[in-house]
Amino acid sequence: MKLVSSGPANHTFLLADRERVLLMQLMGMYPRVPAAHHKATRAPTPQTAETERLLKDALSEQQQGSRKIAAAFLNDPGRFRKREHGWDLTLTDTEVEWLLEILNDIRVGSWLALGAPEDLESLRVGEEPPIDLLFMELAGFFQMQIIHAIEH
Amino acid sequence: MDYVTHVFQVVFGWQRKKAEFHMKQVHEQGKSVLTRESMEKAEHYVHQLQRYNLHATMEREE
Repeated sequence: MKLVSSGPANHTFLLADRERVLLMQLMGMYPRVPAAHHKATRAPTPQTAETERLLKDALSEQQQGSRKIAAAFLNDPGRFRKREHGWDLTLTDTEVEWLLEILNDIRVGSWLALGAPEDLESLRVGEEPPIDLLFMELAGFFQMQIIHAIEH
Repeated sequence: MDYVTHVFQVVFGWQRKKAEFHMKQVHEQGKSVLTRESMEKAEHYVHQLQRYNLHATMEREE
């Protein structure tokens, strides 16, 4: 995945065939982080219960919106344009931020599915790394590619 | 880590240097005090950071 052009309002990336398939598969997994994962405060009190509820509602609403956008993205046949050596993907600034959110949800959700381990190295050395580790690292790979492309 | 820096820049409108400073604090100390705000503004920032799936909470100043 690499940036091929960048205008004032959008960015076009070139993806290899396999990258396109993997990105679509990852996006199809959204959302992976359970709504109950986030807390408004480390030490909840009766006074913070309302804030907790409002935050949960807001996140849940935002997740539902993102799920609809992800479905539209995956079902839009014109989203990727075939080129000789891969596929063009054009995203607006807003879509870039949204895609980063989606990818981070997949990355964090995959890490939670692994049991939230501090030590990932021991998982990497096995003959068959857990599938959630691969999802986590793939989502991180796409995140890094996008951030480096738009910031440099 | 670049992702965390990026999100701090987007959510708080910070320059890269300041965002990196707080990202490094999070990386090395496990947390960073990002801002001191009224309850309403703190809720707003917590929501913004959590929608990016960063672990963010608000605490009353002691």
